[in-house]
Amino acid sequence: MKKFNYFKPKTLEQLFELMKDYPRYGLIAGGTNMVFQLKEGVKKPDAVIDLKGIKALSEITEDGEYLSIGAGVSVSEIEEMSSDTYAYPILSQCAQLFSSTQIKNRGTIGGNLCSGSPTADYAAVLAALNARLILKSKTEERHLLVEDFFLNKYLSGLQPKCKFCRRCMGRVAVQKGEVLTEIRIPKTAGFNAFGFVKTGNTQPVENAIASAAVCLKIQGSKCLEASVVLGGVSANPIRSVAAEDALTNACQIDLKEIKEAVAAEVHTIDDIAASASYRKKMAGVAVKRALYKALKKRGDEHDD
Amino acid sequence: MKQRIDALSKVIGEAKYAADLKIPGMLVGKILRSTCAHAHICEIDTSKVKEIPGVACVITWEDLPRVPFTPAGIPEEAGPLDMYVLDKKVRYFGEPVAAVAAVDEETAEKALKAISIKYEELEPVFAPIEALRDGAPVVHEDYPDNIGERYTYVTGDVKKAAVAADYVFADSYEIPAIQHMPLEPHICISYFDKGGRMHIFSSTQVPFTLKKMVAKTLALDPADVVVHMPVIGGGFGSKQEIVYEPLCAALTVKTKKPVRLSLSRDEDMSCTRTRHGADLWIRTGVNRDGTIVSREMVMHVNNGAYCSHGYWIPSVAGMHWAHQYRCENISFVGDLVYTNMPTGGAFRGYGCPQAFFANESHFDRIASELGFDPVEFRLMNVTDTVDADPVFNWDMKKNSTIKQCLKDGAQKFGWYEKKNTPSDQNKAIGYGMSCFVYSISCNGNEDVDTTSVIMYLREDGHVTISVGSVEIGQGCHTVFADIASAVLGIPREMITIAPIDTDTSPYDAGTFATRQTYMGGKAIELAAKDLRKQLDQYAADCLGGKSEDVQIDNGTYYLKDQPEKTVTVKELAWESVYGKRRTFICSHATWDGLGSTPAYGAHFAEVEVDKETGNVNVKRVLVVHDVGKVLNRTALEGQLDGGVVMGIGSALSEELIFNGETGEMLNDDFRNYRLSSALSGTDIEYLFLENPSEHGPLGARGIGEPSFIPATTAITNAICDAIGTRIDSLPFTAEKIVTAIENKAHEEV
Repeated sequence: MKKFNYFKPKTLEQLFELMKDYPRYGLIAGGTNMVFQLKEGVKKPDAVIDLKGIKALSEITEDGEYLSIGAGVSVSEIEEMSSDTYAYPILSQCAQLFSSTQIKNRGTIGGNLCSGSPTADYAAVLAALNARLILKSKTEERHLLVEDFFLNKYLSGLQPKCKFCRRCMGRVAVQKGEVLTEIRIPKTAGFNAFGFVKTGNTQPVENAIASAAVCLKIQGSKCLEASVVLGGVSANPIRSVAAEDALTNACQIDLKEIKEAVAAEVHTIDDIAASASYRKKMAGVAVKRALYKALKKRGDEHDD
Repeated sequence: MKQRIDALSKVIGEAKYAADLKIPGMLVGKILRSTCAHAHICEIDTSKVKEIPGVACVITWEDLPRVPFTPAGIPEEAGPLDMYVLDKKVRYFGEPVAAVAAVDEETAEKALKAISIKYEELEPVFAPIEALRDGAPVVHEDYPDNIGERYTYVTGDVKKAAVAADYVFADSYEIPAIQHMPLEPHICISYFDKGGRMHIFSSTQVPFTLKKMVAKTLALDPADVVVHMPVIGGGFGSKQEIVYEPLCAALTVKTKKPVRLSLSRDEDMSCTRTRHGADLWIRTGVNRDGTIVSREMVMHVNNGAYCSHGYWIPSVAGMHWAHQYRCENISFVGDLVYTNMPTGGAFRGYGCPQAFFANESHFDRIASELGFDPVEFRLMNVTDTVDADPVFNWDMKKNSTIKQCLKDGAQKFGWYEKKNTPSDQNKAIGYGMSCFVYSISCNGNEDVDTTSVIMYLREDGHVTISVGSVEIGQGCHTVFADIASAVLGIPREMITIAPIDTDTSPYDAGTFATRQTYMGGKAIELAAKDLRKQLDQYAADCLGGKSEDVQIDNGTYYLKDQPEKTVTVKELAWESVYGKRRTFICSHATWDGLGSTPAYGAHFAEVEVDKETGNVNVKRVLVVHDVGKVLNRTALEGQLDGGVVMGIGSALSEELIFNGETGEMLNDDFRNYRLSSALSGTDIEYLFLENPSEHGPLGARGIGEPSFIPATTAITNAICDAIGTRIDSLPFTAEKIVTAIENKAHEEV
């Protein structure tokens, strides 16, 4: 491991100063990705700047328009949020399946996104919620959709087998001098049924082969709106147009049909964890099960 | 339930592993590794390295004595001597080509980058089937057919018997290379003392063989090499090898300074040893009544680049396979095939898990196609009589409990009731089992299989045991203390296992072959009996009686007839030094064994398979083992938990994946090489039979390797039962399971 300086600023202002003073910096929050990358020599920063000291990054607030989650909020804290919080079911379902307790205690929602990993669980969930990611620099503030935040390129030339997840991937829109501060989830969509499902090779908490996040707006027995995003299957989170089309304004939902439509539609990566053809099938299964979860949850509420 | 004697020091972090040791002036060693799988080294230019400040030395093959050796950590140097510490040819991706020592890691890495190498690349060969073809690239010039060793076992006439059989079944199976994954990667520290003796701290399972081989490869006198044992963080066979110790020591020879060579996880996975991958073909003739009349197996072991333990793998696999089921016509051919893969090594089970996966999968298919219950089919055919034992000279009358393991296990498991229903319609429940036989320790008549012990009463009343047997986490020192405590009649807290080094500890063959409890434990028992005899006499003298009249209870002696007259072992000890006796109460023993003892057992598994995703939940596993005698139940159950979890990993997910063109390992980390873990949530039940072994300590056999051998196949057979079709290669990944289900549906349409 290369030697580095370590700083723990208390404010964003201090952070921006440090970024200026040490142009070859690396940001660390929970460290569950960064420590690994430092050890492996994938990243070799002169200064490691710890974001855990900045209080502004660790707040959760909610008003009539938005639910705002600080980028430094840990996955465990999301899991323990009040169940009255908007979109609580999908945010907490994702936390439950995220990883082991130790990783959840350290790892942050912002870090999960900034890892740029194709298997970042919150990427699919936040994309389905139409969340805005807020990036700040000393002079500017940018609001990005998740789809515009992930910039991985799927290089088919690296096939058939390549260690993509830590060498070629991990590209996000954060620029030099910028930091992800907040995730802002709009409440205007009025989603009222949610499901998140992850399929893996062995244990449910490992990296997803395919994950699906489903947010629905249901009125009576009709689905007015649907947002369906797949994670893990491609280099970046991708929206399933086939599923959304089948669901929007639908009164009858045929899970099997949607499963097959998703599998037929999606373009997937092929790597050492799974083949593309298996991933395609699992994308369909994940959407089907996430939908089942969303609809069943609603059904339960009606029963009450 | 008694905890392990080393539990506290490990839990609180007091235990010193090799990585915790710091020696003043210690340099960091690093290895430059080949970037091709098969090549001649034409030129190595190290001139730029010497200009880098902080680099102490760089060595290549030209700097070392040209001594061929085998790195296998067994006392005999058997099999091809096909390896050099550094060679002018590379035979796998990641093979060392040079090593440096520098003041710190950054400098050492810089030094590696400054070395330039010219290779003349040769065509590599990775699979046995390719390596056996005419005109295939030759890995070692001395073995032009790429066969490093062949073991054959033939009895009767299989061809004739197969023709006469009512049914003949044939199957092929593929087993990938997997990794041991001990938590502690390989690490070595070496230095010279002022007197010029070489000291080595290594995470090894075989300190005495290590000492011998370091001396041999570096042309030192073995008397000038001392191996010290730090605490070891797991081995599973991977450290029963002379891996990088000679290279580390060579850096010390060159610099005259202490050097630490510690492998990273990816180096440990891709450039030490793997479990041998294998291709197996098996054919069995069966009569209508279920009697097996012919058994054939052809096993191609993917040895990788160097022979090492591979020399023994086909024979150990073949002998156990041949023994397991009664049959007059048997043919086994096992070829050890050189390829440009990482070298295969000793791995829990030593070839048997591969052969038994093939056999037990194949038998499951036969039973199911002929309409026999899998347990009943095995009961009809297992070897359990003297005349039917074709391979080992075991006393079957006393020893064979295989049928009892099967019967008692089936009953406890509820095998014949099997009634659980799946938790939802996407899922299917399945039941499977697998049985095994394994010989504990080596063949005492032919192999060096020795453990020696010195045991003495200290002046403070505690007993010190000096023994060269290495504790690698399996718990042998705890069991040694348990055995000594039971024989001596003193509490276990009064027993100390001395630190181990090759200067002061008596010889031990090493930690392998599930031999420490069985062989080491026996030496402990013998030495303890001798010490007890001396103590009895001494106590009798003090109490004014005869030695046969004294009894001991928890460290206190008394006369049978006058229980009020007592003397404690502590008092005796104190008296022996500070009183008038001025003596040293001491014993020693050597045990070389009278041959191995069989361990029998069976595992039963219940799984739930998600038919859509192929995910498997191993719900419960019942392990049934004849252990001879339970010496420490906690430690025994711990071994089985470990064996079963390893079995789940090898059944469902463990597989080393390589780039098919370059031979580079692609999943050399915990993220991409998926082990099973405590999260599997499997409910493990235990059933221990206690049929005493004739030569084992207090009747005990062994459990280290047996705990793992049947676990994989019990689970895979249960999966096949759940999905109603078979898979013929490990691991049973989710993807393979889904494909198998789809193929079956396709066929049924």
